[in-house]
Amino acid sequence: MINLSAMRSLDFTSLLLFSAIFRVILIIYGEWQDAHMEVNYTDVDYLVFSDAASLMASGDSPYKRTTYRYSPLLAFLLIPNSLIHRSWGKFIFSASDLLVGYFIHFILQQRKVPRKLCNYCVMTWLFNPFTFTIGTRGNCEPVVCAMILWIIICLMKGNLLQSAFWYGLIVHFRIYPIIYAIPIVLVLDPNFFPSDRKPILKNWTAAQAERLNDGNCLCSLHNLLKCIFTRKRLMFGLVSAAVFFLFTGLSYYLYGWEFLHEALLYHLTRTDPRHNFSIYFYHIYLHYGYDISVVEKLISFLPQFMVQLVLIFCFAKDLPFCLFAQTVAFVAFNKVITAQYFVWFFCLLPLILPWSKMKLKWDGMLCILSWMGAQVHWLMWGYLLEFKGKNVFLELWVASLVFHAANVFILTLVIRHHRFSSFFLGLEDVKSKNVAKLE
Amino acid sequence: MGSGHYHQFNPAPPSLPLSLPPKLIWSPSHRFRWSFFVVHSIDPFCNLDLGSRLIVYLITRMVSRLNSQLAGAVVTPKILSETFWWFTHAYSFSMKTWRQFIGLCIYLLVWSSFISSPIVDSANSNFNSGNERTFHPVKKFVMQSYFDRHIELHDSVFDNFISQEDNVGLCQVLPENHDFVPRLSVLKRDLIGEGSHRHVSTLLKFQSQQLESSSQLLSSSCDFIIIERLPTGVFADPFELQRLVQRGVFNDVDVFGDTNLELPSFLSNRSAVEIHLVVDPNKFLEPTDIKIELPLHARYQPLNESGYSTVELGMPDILVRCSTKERSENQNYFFKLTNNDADVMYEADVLWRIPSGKKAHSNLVFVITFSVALLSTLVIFLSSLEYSKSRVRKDSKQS
Repeated sequence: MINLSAMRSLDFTSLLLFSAIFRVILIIYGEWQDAHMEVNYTDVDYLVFSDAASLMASGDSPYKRTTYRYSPLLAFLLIPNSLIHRSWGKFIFSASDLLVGYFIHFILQQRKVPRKLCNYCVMTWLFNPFTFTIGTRGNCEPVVCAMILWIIICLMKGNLLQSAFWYGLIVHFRIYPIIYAIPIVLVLDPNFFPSDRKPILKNWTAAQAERLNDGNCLCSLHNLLKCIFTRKRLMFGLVSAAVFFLFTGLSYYLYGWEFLHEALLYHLTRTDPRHNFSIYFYHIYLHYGYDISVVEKLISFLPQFMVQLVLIFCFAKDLPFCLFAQTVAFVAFNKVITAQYFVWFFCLLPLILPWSKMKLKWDGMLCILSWMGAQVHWLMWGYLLEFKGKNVFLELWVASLVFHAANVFILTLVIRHHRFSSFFLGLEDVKSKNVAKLE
Repeated sequence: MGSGHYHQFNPAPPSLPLSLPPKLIWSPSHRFRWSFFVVHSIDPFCNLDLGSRLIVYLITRMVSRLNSQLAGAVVTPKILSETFWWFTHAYSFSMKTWRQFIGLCIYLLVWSSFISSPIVDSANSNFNSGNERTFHPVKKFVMQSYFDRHIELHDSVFDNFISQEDNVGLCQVLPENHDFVPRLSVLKRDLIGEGSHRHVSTLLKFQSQQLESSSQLLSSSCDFIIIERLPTGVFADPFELQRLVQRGVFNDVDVFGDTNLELPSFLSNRSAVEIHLVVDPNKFLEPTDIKIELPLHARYQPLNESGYSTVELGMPDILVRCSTKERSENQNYFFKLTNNDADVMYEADVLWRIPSGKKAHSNLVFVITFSVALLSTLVIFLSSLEYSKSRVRKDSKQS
């Protein structure tokens, strides 16, 4: 028995080792390509980070570097770029990449997912071409993903303070995790988080979807307002808000208005007319420079808002699935979509795969092929526009509509094939289990 | 008119319009500060007592900041004692878990970087290698003085500016014992490439020179200054140009004016690129060519009915700044390469067709975009609600 489990854990370790070596090779290759070929392997953003980091190290504000639109923490993390080697940042990001793989494995193990399934799920992250290129090209998204998974792990263990701290930090770092606030607060239900002990995870079973248990008091509005302010929820909210304001305040104290403008306000009011995957890009370009009426702003914000709300209220109890669905919807409906945003939901995908009834043949293949196909289609028109100089704006916009449709289609398919499984065991479930055991 | 220094402009310190990474010199207090910052911020990851680590880190940060404000870059006993504290602290790790092992590695890394006193040159320093500057310009870049006086680039104002320099500082009339004027025979402009990222190439062909005193020429060097005034529709990426300087394609480059890389052209102002090329004047004894390729990028254009808008790139202004070492004195002179000679051929201005949006699409795009958004919202709405209902139905079937 022990030998068998040792062998199986060796499987994961060897997976991790192999991925690590592969990423190191990619980083070295990237250095070679930068030096010898016209087209750079390294992302432009990485050079921005490095420049900002060296500015910060010599005491200047990193915001003196144009297009640096992140928290000063990122520049701080990359200071050794100027000291040790300029690829330090890439190693950090690839290391967080591997850390995400480790966290996924940990979470699935804790939920008693069978080893083989667990390893397959981890492979969908470690060997996903999007993820290993993103880390090795010098994009900071793997760090964000690692933090989100760590927050989930802290919630699993019941370390609310720690999860609140990291949540506040990550919202300071990247604004988008704010959409996770409501599901996390909803899951901190006294049913799942009783005051005397740690929460109990619901384990993976091969059985069908569980019974709908409306034991928590969210059914009526009156009840909702009554029990929304439990001690744990308040604590989580206050601590994460305090941490967010602490880091934001510190950065503001150090770097002033520039920081607020570049790192926060830019992301909130960003409308980029340059072509990207979003369906709104052409509309923004055609109306750029004109005043946008309040009604129009509301109309553009409403779909996003509605979709987030409906996903939260339908799936909050199954936390990883809720986060995944929310992220997919958020990216699909966002005003600007760049390829690095896809990593945000790729890190959550392995967490929901064991509960999906979708088989690789042919539903899974359909999802993958339609997503990749829509992307490639868009990239083709984008290439014609940018590198051949043809006016294909209308066709490119239609391609982004097709990509959006593919995203929505895949999301609905994933929802339909999902086996709902609450993340934690409620008090009643535990009691009924104990009763059953006694009998 | 031949003496070395021209002080006609205000000798304000030249500042780069975009701050590129400066030389990185780490004073001891810097190193102390940042090593503490790193050490205390990775502690939570190493699974030590979170609250106390946070407090210690904040205190250390405040202390070092206060320190640098009060005492300059001075190492105080307080900092020394704290160094000793975390140094021993680091060694007291027993590597029970792999996390602590990684923590120890990071401590040691930070410590070693502190010891080894790195002084790192950034990209900028490369251009100083090799080319001995034998003249002392008050302003290295001509455009810097233009932008010190004016905010925006206008053609008429610029032409005035250039001719003013001629009158005041630059020599149209050269020192008597020198007749080195490269004679331009062809000035050819071309746009290479396709799409939004192209190169504008300038080809200068020179005729051969006759010299009166050959000894003079050998000791001088000439700086070709090419000023490209770019229209609002295109821009040059300063960071890309710096990489070209590093590779040795140019000796120095800078971009002035509106260098925003992201805004469309109708919200941007003009910019100008100044390229410096050091050329050995001996080359002009025979017919020579100089080819300069400048990478440019197209901005998003204002809306146009035809779907394309045309951007015109005018002729560059080419100034030559030569210096000679004569009688152990540096002599500088400027002149502007003109193509007023009858036998100079030059190609017409370069035209660049850039795709732009069509105003006619406005309403259609607006309606369809928002309909699609609402439709997909509805689809997700319905599928989520249907899923929840099906769970209720299953539950009622089971019970």
